[in-house]
Amino acid sequence: MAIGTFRGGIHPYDGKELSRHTRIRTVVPHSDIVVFPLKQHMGRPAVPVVAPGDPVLTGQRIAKADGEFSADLHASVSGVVTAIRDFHVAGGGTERSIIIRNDGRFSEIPYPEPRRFEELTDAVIIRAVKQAGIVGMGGAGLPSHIKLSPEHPEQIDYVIANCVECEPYMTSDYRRMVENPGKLINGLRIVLKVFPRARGILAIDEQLRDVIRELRSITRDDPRIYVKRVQTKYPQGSERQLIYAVTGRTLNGKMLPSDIGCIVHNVDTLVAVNQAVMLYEPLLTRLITVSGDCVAKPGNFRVRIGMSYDELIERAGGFVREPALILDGGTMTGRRIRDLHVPVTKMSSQIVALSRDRAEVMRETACSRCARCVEACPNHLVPIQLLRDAERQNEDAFITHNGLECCQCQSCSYICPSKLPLSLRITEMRESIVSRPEKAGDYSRRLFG
Amino acid sequence: MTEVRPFTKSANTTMGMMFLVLLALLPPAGAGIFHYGARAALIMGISTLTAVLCELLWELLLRRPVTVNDYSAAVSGLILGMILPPSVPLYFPVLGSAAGMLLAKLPFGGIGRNLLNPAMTGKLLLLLLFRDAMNDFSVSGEEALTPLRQLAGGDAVSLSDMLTGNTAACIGTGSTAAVLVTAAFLLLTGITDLMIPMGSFMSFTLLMILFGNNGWNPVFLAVQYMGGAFLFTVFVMAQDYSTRPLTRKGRFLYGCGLGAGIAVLRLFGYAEQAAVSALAVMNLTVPFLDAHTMPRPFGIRQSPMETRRIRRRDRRALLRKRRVRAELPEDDFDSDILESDIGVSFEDAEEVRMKAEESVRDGAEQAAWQEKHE
Repeated sequence: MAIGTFRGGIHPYDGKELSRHTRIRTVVPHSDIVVFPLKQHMGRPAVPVVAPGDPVLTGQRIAKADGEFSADLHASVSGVVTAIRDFHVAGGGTERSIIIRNDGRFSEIPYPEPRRFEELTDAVIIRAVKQAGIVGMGGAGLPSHIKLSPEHPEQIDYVIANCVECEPYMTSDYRRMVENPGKLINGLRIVLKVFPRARGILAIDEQLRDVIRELRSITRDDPRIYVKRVQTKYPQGSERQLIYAVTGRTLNGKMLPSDIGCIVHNVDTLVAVNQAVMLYEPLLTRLITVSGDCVAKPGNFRVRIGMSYDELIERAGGFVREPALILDGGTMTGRRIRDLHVPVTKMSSQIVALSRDRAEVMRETACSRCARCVEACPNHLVPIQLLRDAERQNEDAFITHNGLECCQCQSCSYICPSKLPLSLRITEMRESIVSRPEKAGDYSRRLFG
Repeated sequence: MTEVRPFTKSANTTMGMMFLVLLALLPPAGAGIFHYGARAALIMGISTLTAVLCELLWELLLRRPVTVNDYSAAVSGLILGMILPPSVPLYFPVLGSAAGMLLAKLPFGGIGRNLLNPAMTGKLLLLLLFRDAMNDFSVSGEEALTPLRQLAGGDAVSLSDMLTGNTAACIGTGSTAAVLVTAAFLLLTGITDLMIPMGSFMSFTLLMILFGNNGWNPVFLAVQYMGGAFLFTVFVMAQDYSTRPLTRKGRFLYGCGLGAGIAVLRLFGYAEQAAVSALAVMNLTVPFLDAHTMPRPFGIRQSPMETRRIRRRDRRALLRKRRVRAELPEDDFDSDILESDIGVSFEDAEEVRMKAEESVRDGAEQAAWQEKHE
């Protein structure tokens, strides 16, 4: 079978060797204060349903969704709500957050007896996912029940489990597939139950041969689930590139995957779906890779949402040397963070601490028109042309040159020999246009209100 | 402190790429020195030095950031030296190199902004000024004919001599073997790709077979490939980043034009130095090619077939719409389409729409669709 891929893309240093061999460690917050920002998803911030002074149990809902693209929020520790106030978050700035004093007992709300998903109706499954507050763990934070309820569920042909971690340093999905493949497969089966005509596809990086073998043997008897290999390349895990590699269908920036009969879910999301539907468990933990050459014991951690980053790094053995660069996310799409006293949210994915800031020493020079960016762009754009349009603030030219198709994968900035801020300028320009639906038309569809 | 993504960048730099180009140019330069002696080395040296000095002085005088350390000036200078005959007076490389840099490259803003290849501009200027000297390939007083002249005159041409470079030619283009080493090096290091050579070989071969009066004759074709500066132009000069199209399709078309240009100039035109003239013309087409070969973005279907299909569908919808209108009473028809413009009551418009739907349901739907999408 041919290995699926797309044209373009890059091969950055992936650093996965640092963390891929250690088992997932479960850590619980020891500190008194656990922080739950109300906005851990795409839409509007959730509305608190607890007040300062209320006692809460692990798994209890503390905030309810406000609007369609918002999600419920649950306490991951037991204790007492002390305040609802602004708190620093990893994305920079502050968010209104519920602050809970952790009593250290982690007493849980009583869960009903586990159930079998085969007997459930679609509506029950979707409601269970919604009530568990599950959001897409790929980074955008779209509540998962929205993906499960497209306009025409019978028109969905493929449910793709995105097992491709193309982001450098990240290995949490790999560890998840090694350690609990059953939960992943079961999560996929639950989602397939909602889409009667769909086939389930596990799209896995060709290099992860052990996982491919294991998952193939598990799914051998399931006529609806297939394992497909995709090439090791960045950004192979990007939704559009993955759908193309696996199904041959193409998707442009105006469309949603459901328009072409595909649904893409992240590994961690499917596992959470499994827990929510079978065991009534809300989303309380998330897998986070802590890696980089400054971390004493790099690895993957099952972390309770609300635990602070510095406590997590402490559990990973702390820093062995002074980091020059700490990232929330990977080296391609991550964000630099300075203040480590921020909580883990549903959208956190990894922390990378590096002793050397490689990009810092690189000086910008004049463009030589080498066209490396054109070759690398996975969306087949001409980034250098878009940079010129953006520099001249020429919105019409930017739109004509399909600048709105950019998916912000950063490949152009990575590959540029002149170290031009291609992706930065293009993203700025694109965002300023997309925020005005009258100019951007269907491209604003992905903004969700 | 970098604050922006990505936090990792490729080790590739412009300087590194240009240095690799310099390395790649060493085999043909070496072959030139081997066959034509120290004078060849002197010409290339003077040419390179002049180019670098011109860029340095220009940037110092105009207080611009100095960019000579990206080696691009050295590459232009060296290439100019390599496409001069070995017996030219020593002020030729000075003049050519300075003209190339000061006329073609620097006034446009330096690397990446020039329309014309500096080395090519320098050579073209020298050709126009000193036609005889530039076509005199005699070495140390011995008269010599280029292989292409020999072929035209009906003489026997030694292919093995052309391969090693033991022939009358420009300094760097004589040895086909060395030029192919350069080409392979540039391709393997990813500095160039095969789009331009592919296009050039296709159009060049086709025209040579059709109009060369020698049909499929392999010796004739081999001499045409190896003679003159065809290979050097296609694999090295046309690949100059600043003056080649950005997109693959554009590069392929550029290559086609270049190959055809060289063939036409050799077959029907002023035969000497066809490659450089064809390249000059093709350089001028780059902005046009760039503007018209923008790649189709991922997931947007816009193949000509698709476009035609959509146009046909729209036209059919338009025809149906006209038919619907024709079947309606005149005044009612107005109220239907100009509902918003002249403020006809909603009921009237609704009635008309119902009528239209009853008669030609499909047509009305198409018309509504059409109206919405205009």
